[in-house]
Amino acid sequence: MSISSGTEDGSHGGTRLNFYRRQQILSYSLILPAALGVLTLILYPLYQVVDISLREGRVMNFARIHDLPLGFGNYVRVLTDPQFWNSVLVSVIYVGGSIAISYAIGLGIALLLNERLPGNRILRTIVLIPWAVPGIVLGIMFLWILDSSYGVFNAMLRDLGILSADFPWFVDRRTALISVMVPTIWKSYPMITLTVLAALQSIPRELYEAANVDGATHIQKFRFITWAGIRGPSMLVLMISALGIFRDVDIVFGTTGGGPAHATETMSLYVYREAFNYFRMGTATAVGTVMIIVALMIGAIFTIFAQRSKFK
Amino acid sequence: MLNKLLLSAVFGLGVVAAPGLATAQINLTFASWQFQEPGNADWWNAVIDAFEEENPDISIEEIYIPFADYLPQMTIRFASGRAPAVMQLNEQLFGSFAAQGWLAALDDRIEGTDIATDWAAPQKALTWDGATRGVLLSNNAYQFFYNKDMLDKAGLPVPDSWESFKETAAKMTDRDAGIFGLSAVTTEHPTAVEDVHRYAIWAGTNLVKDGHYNLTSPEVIDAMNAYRETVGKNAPLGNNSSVARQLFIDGKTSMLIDGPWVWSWLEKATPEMRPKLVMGRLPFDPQLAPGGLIMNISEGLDDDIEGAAWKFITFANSEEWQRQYLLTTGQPPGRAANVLTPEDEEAHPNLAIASASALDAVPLFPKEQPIQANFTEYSSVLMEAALRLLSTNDPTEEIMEDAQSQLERAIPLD
Repeated sequence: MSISSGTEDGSHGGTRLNFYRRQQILSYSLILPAALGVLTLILYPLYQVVDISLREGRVMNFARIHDLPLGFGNYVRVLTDPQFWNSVLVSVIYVGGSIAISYAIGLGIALLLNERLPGNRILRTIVLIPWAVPGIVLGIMFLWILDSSYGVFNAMLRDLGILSADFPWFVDRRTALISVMVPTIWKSYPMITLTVLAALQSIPRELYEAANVDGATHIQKFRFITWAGIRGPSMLVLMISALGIFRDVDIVFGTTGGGPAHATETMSLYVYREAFNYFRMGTATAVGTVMIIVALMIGAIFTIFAQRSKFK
Repeated sequence: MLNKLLLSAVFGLGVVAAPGLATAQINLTFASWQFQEPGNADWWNAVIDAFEEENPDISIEEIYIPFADYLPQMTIRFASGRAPAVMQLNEQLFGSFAAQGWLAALDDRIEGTDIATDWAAPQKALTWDGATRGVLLSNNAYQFFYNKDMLDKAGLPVPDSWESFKETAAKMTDRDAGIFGLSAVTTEHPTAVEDVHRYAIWAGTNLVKDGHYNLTSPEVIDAMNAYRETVGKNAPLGNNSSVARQLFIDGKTSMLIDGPWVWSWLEKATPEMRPKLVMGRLPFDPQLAPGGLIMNISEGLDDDIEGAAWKFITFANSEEWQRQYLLTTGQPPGRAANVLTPEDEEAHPNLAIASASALDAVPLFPKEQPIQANFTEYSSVLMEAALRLLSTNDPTEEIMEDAQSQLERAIPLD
């Protein structure tokens, strides 16, 4: 007597395949309602945004949107508006500068916290505090810190003899954008620190020991072990942070409102102004559509970098 | 048996329907940014309580929206069909709302009431497409605030002309000592736009003249140079209206031009500082009105709700409640006649000053319909110009030419 796992013609195997297929169908049907819900929540608003952006005329009553003719007038208006291109440039500097400095600070603190120093656990908690403060609160907080008349920063500089008179950090065109970047960086670096720290702690110690035996320099160890280990998570957290800064409006709104004279007006603020100050929902959604494309591009770039990050 | 069943059914229906009939209420939604402002909130709460007591069939549901969010929040409400029945606006927002078709015509209701005959001049300007669409609740004019002690110590008299005002501001400023001749709004803020208009009008010109933009005329360029020189050099930069007022009541600036509501700020000054701070009529003409508050009804309401909304508006604007408004908030009401009793005037001389200057005031902002309909954009272009004047070395002519071309492109007047 022999024990067979199936019939000689393989029909048992076919039955097993059918069983897996049934399981697969069941799995898909179980997730289908949730998937449809998620897709509806993403695709329907996206369709609405694109639809409004293609409607010629002011859209102030969404129930009547389909009465308006279709066209690309809003896109033409946006792309020929110098303020739009100004907002693109401001966004590039604001997002790029904030993210680069946040990463440098976050990486530095993560490397420090990765060492076995006393009080590290408390320090990790303290590092998180800025991340927990809402953007608009942060904006108001820094508005007061950097206030020209009552701000503690000016008072400090005067006490140190660096300034002879109070300086309007948020009003001077040379310093306004940098002043807005300060609270943004302050809010962004904790998440970068924690992500990089987690990545650092997952790197096997043996790799460093082996490198020491091989006589590797500090730079070589950082490049081939540390950086190789943290590159993937870094790209991920940089992507999330960059997209967050790119779309957020609250810190800029709470500090400069986009001024002085559009010097800090990001694309998000441009959208806000078009929609809620000028009632031009069409151009606002046209810029919104452009922003979605830019956000997808940012996501794609970081994803490509992240995929190249595995240890080689 | 059948009769008994029918009787029970009728009785049952009666029990179910009776409470509904007894409590047939009209719920009136009312949007304002003032429900949490000291003074204004006290008055609104008192009016609403008294109105509900007198009209038990109407209840008012307050919708509080902070002023900074008022325009976007109301836009979302109107766009999504959730507009409040009654709303508070300021005159500067009136055109934007009216142009969208959001405000109901009120002429049939106003006809025959004292609003048609006894209201201050700005009431006449609350028309759009040939219909009156608002009722003026308050009618403000700027007041002049100065620190008598600072001027006395500097040996300077209280300014009595536009020229002496500018000279005094310059003489009082010692930037390194943190002392300034003037408190003004010098950051991205709508009040900067008021300042630009004020400096033009007090220099004897205007930004819009004979139905055309006038920003590049030599007179306006001179006025803007005066603004640049006076505000840019004699007021701390980077201040919004709150900080500007605080600097004045802290004794760091010697003069301030602002609304009559700043009186309540003076009252909060320290006991040492309070006697030094004076509020008076502006020492040069014309007296200027930046625009008061108005009450409006949404377009397209049911007759019952619109009737209740109108009842509420007339209640709040009755003579006694307008007197209470002035006494509680310090702002002159929409009624042209003086609502204060002689006893009130004796007890509150500041209110008499504010009332008198409001009645003499002329509108600060142009009344061209395209500007009113796009006031936020108009304001934004001029705010950019104001901030460039204060924070850059760009030539005044270039700044005003840019502003003029932006306005001509965005809000053509022809």
